[in-house]
Amino acid sequence: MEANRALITLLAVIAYLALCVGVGLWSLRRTRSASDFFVAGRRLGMFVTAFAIFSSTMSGFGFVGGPGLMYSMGTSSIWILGTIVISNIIVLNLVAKRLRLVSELRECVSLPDVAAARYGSESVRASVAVVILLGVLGYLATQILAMSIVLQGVLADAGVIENPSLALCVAISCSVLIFYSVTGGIVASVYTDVIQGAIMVVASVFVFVTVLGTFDGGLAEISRIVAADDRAASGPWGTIGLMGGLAWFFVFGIGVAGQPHIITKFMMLRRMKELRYVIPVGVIAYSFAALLWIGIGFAMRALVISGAHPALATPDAASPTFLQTFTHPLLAGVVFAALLAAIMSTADAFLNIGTAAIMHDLPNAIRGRSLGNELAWARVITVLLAISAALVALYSGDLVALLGVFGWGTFAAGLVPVIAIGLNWKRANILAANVAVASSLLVNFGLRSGFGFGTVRLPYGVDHGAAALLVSLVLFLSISFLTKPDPIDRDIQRVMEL
Amino acid sequence: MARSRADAPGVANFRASRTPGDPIRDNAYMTRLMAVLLALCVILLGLLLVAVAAGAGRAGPLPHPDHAPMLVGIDGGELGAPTWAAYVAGIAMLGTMWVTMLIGFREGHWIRRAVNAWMVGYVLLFVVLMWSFDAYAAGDTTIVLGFTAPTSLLVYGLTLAPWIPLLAITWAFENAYFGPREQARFDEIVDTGGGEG
Repeated sequence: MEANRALITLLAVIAYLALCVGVGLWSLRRTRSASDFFVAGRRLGMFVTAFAIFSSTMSGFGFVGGPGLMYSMGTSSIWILGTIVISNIIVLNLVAKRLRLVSELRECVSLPDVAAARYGSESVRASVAVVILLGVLGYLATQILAMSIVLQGVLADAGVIENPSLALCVAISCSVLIFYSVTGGIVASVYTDVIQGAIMVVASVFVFVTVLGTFDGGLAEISRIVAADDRAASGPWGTIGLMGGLAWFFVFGIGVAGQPHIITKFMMLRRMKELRYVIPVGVIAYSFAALLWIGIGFAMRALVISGAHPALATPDAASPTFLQTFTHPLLAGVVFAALLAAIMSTADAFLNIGTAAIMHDLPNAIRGRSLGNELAWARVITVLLAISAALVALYSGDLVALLGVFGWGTFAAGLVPVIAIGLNWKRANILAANVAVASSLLVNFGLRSGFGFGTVRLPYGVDHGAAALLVSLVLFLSISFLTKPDPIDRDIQRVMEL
Repeated sequence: MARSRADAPGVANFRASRTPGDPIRDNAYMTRLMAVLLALCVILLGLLLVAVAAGAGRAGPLPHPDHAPMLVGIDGGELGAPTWAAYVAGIAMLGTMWVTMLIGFREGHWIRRAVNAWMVGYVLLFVVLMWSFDAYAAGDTTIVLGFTAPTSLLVYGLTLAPWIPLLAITWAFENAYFGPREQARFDEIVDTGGGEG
C-alpha cells in the first residue's frame, strides 16, 4: 500500500471532486429563486447550519496555514485557536439572533441588505458591499491559489501528468468549484460543507492519534523537545510574543462577528429555536479540527529540531510533509481530500457573497433596484467572479498574498461595528457606519502596504487587523455618541428589542 | 400599515427603508455597555499609540540558526513588552469580550449576572497564566497534560473555560435568549409591520 500512496491520494481527491459535482447536480432542483441561491430559501436545519459555519471558518488556513504557524512560530497560534468557544458566544450574542430576524422580516439575501434595512440607508448598503467585495476578491484568489497548489502536488506525486502547470490546476479546481456553485448556489455550498466538515473532523482525530505516536511520550515529549531548543516556542506566547498573542486573541475573538462568509449562514437557518444548538455543535467540530492544527505543526517542529526530519523549505509545507511521510496512505488520501474540502468550502462561500454584492447589493444601492432575472444573473456573475479571482491568483504576484491577509482584518474592522454592534445599539448612525467602513479599508491597507512604502511594523508584533478593529470601533462608537441618532424603521426597532 | 410575510419586499425590489423611520427608543443599558466598550477600546488604542510614538517594541522573532524559516523568540517570548502593559492590555481586551457577551439576553435574567461572575474568574485565569509565565521564564519546565504549565493554562483554561457560559446559554436559551414569547412578538412584528399590533 505504501508504494501506491500517491495513487491513493489522487483517487481520494478525485472521489471528493466527483462528490462535489454530484451535490451540485442534486442542488440544481432545489435552487429555483435568488433567495434559494443566496440564503438557501432560509430552510437549513441546525446540523447543516452548524457544519456550514464550521467548514467556512476552518478553510485552507486551518489545514495548511495553521500547522505552518505552529511549525514556524511555536505555540503563538494557539491564541487564535483559543478563541474557538468565546468567539462563538460573541457571534451568538451579537449577530446570530438579530441577523436571522431582520433577514426574515425584510426578506434580506445578503449582509448589505441587512445593513440597509437597519440604517435605512443605501450609502451604508453600498459601503458594506464594497468592503465585502474587496475582501472577497482577495480571499477567493488565495483560496483558489491554495487549492490549485494542493492539486498540483497531488497530480505531480501520482505521476499522472508530468509537471502539471499551476494554470492547469487552477482550471481543473475552478471548474469543479464553479460547477457546483453555479448549479446549486448556496444550497450546494452548504451541503458540500457538511460533507467537507465531516471529513475534516474524522481526519483530524486520526491525524492527532498519529501525531501522538511520533515520539515516545507523545505531546509532552514534543513540548520538551521544542522548549529545550527555544523556550519561547513552547511557552504561552510562542515566538510572536506576549502582545502579539493577545492581539490575535482580540482580533480573532471579536473579529469573527464580522466575517460575512460565517455570519451569513445564520440568515439561512430554518427556525430560530434551532439556533440553540448550532453554536455548541459547530464549536465541537472546530475543536476536533484544531487537533490537526496544533498536532501537525508542533510535531513537525519537534521532528526537525530532533533531526528526525530535514528542515522544511516553507512553513506551509508542514502539513503536506507530515501527511506524506508519517501517516497511513489511506489516511493521507482522506486528509488531502479534506484539505481540498476545507479550501473549497470557504471559496464557495466567498463566491456566493461576492456574487450577491455585485448583482444584488451594488445595483440596489446605485439605481434602486436589483438586476432583473436575479437567478440567471447570479449564475453568470458567479462564473465571472470565479474567473476574475483565478486570474488574480495566477497573475497578480504579491498582490494576492496582500489581499488574502487583508481579508480577515478588513471584515473584522469594517463589519463588527456596522453589523454586529449596529444591530444591537440604536444610537449607531449612518455617518458612524460609513466612517467605520472607510477607516477599516484605509487603516488595514495602509498598514499592510504602507501606501507603497512597505508594510508598517507595529510594536511588539501587534497584528494590523487588531489595530484596524480598534480604530474603527473607536470611531464608530464616538461618532455615534457625539452625533444625533438617525430614525430607524419601527419594525426594525422592535426586532432590536427582542 | 399592516403587513404580512406575503407583502414583504421581494428580493428584486428590496429597498433600505419602507417608511420614513421613527425616532429611536434608546436603551440605557445598551448605551452604558457601549460607553464601557468605547473606554476599553480607547485604552487599548492609546497603549498602541504610545508604543508607536515611543518607538518601542521593534524587535521581532529571529530566524532559527539551524532550521530557517523556523523562527525563535526573544527573551522567552516577551519581545520586550513591559509586564504592566500586558496586564492592562489583556484585561482591557477581556473587558471588550465581556461587554459583547452581555448583549442579547432578556433584561433582568440571571444569565447576565452569571456571565459577570464567570468573567471575574476568567480574568483571574489570565492573571494566573501571567504568573505561571513568570515561573516558566525563570526556568521551570513542568509539563502539564502535554504542554508547558502556562501553555496548558491557555489550552485547557482560557480556551475551554468559555464552555461554561456557552452551556449555560444553551440550557437557558428559551428563557434568556429567544423563546416562544419572543417568537410570538416577532410574528406580530411581521404581521403588523412594526406597529403595536
